[in-house]
Amino acid sequence: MVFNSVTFAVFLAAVLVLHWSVPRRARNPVLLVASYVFYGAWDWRFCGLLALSTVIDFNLARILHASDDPRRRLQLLRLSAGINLGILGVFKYFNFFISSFEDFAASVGLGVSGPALSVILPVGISFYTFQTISYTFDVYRGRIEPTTDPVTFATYVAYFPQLVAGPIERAQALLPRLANIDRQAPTGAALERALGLILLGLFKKVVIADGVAQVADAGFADGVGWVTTAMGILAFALQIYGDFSGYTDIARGVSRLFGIELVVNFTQPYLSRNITEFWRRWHISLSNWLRDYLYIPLGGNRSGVAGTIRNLMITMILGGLWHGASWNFVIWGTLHGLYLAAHRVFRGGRVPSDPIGLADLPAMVFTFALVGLTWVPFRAGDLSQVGDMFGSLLSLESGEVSGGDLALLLMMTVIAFGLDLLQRRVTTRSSPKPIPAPLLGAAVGAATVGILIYSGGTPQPFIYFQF
Amino acid sequence: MDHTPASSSLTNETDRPRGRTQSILLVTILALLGVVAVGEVGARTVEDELPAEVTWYDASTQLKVSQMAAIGDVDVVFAGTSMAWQGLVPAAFTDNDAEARSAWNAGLAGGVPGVMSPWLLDHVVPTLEPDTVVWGLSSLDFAPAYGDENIEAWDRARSSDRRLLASIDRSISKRSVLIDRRRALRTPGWWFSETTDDEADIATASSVLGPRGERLDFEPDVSDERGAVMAARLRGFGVSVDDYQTVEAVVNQLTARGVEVVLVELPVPDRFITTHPAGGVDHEQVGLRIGALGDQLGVQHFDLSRGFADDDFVDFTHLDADAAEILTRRLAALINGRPDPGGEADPDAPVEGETVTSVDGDCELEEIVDEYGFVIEVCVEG
Repeated sequence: MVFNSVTFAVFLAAVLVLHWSVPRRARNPVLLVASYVFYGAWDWRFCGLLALSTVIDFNLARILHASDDPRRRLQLLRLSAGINLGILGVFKYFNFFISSFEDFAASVGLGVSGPALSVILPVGISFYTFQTISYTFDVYRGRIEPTTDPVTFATYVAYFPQLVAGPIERAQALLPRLANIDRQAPTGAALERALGLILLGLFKKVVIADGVAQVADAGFADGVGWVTTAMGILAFALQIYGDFSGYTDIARGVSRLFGIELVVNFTQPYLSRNITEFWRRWHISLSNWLRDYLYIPLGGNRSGVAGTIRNLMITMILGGLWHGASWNFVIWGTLHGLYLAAHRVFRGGRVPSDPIGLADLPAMVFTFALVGLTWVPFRAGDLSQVGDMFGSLLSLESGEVSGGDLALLLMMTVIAFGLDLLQRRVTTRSSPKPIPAPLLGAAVGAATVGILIYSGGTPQPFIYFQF
Repeated sequence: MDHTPASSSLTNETDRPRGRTQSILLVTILALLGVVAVGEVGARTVEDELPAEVTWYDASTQLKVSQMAAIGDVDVVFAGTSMAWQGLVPAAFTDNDAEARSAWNAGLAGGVPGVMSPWLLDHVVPTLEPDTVVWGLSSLDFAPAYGDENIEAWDRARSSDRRLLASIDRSISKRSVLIDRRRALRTPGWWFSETTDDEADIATASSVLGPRGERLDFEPDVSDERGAVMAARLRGFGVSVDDYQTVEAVVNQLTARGVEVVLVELPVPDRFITTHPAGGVDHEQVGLRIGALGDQLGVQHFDLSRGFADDDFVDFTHLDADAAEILTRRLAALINGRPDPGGEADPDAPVEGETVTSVDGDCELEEIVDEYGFVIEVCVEG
């Protein structure tokens, strides 16, 4: 059940009516049941794993909190993390590690054949396991008290607007919002903002992301010239941004319809002036999670230069691996780790303040180019394709270029960056002015026309659903 | 760190008086409608420049729909997969029919019973109002491993999708160029006069479509790869109950509408028979089932599967031009109550060639793209 489908629209309408009709105490149970229906629509078998993770962490956190023995508390924390990471490891990484070991053994002349698991990767497993791990960690650190309400906790884990692709919500933020059964239905300007977010998200997904998909596919095909390859990389950069940020906008807009705020996950990352700033603006909930639960516990930047670089590399490599069980993602993470390390060493990791101006353009272009290169291993099917694509970029053969694809790509680039510049301007103003109604109507009309033109056919899945 | 900014929307307005909200809403809606209207006018302005699109099952089907609309009524319609499409020649039938009845070929590539059902019942028969439908059948019509993707392609094509939203889409498309031509509008290749895939498909289909719907593509292909594709389609062969029941249902509906139905077992070369998992045994089952179906439903059925040599076929299933004429003459004779003049080959000749099993221990499965653009797994001898 993807967000950009009629099925989801009908489902959402039904859940909204039910949620706001039942007595307040029944609101979270409604959300919980709806979330399991939503998740079960992907595959009903996934619900068992979700429930298992929920039950384990709910109880472990309570037992941990009740214990005064530091050793026991640490053991319980490790047990929770171990179970969650174990689930992730079995379903997501088992076959990858086995096949990698087999390849390595073969390369040194040993013929080893390990067992292979025939499993389906449960949708959203990477997101909700990280969410539950962070809950137990925060209870361990005393940042929050464990909730005694199993329904609220289960809703926190399974909350459907953010279940399959984030944002990864901290318990400190989301649990109190869910626990507040007196939350109000959005009306007036709040309702406008919620619907506006949904429309914006749909536009980013249906028009920008799905619109450039064909250019990305052409660029990542075999035997094309460097121009088409470069176009493909730019197109994929727009596609993944439109897809993921669009999903998040829809998730936040939908959640607002239930009176619940979710964290912002993207703040115009392609307008970043260096790689450190990029990682404060791209997939913010994941980068914050990695910072708080991996980078800082490893020592962060308190271990000297070499230690900082080591911690950055470990964090980003594991962050890459989080995206998928493939060496491509390890390369992606490694590249970002190297970028961040270099920026830390040579520029102190400083992020310039807002607002941005024309003078920042060279830095933005450079940062975008660096990030763009990392999308090659991220999108490529295998390592050999990574090599082919970089080889194509370095070749002197421009090959045949489709004028239509070029025009489409330029149009989407202007639209995507224009939207981001507008949003950056609005969010950095100290006293933002309301947009005049005719202009707002025209913008909504244009978005609607765009969605109408680019809709039709089978809804394309969101890229981050595969993680 | 919570990145939720204090104001995160384009409006950034806080609560305002209700009356003001209503006037803002009204102005917003008017502006929205204004932009949509501009979009519609823009689409109508460039409509003639937009490339043609394939909205039917495939380009050939789309061309046939246009042909049907131009032809009007016909007396006899031929139906079936591409084997019937290529093997039954309308002009030859008319020339050899006692009453010189007009004929039109409604066969489609991949036109298995699940595709023929809606095609015949919802489009061909209501448009052409034939007295007789001749349905050419073979083991491909009943192969469990073949046809599902074709049926899905039919079900999802814009012009034949029966789902509610698709019906609404078609209804709105009749009134709005913006909606109707949105697929063309969003691919700006036409700004540069680039030929789209749909235009190329239509051009290709046009070049092999005869004036009465018949196919004129006699390109030979008896390659191993083609054989592997056939073997994949016949994998695990057994007469599919679903397909059988579909044929039964279509025949019953046609008969109820007063249309005479004739079932014909089409000829195939030995190299196709030996591609079945159990070779001639599987092939015979099809003939028996067609005969049984004909008897059960009380319709005429003819076995025209023999009398052709392998050389009469351009590939594993399609007759060449001369053999198609012979087949059609034989059919015309039988339909007119005359004896079957037979083909040029010995109808009692045994099947030659060893049965090639589609999957065995030395077989590696490899994915290839077939002529419909579907990805299928074929057996590559290891």
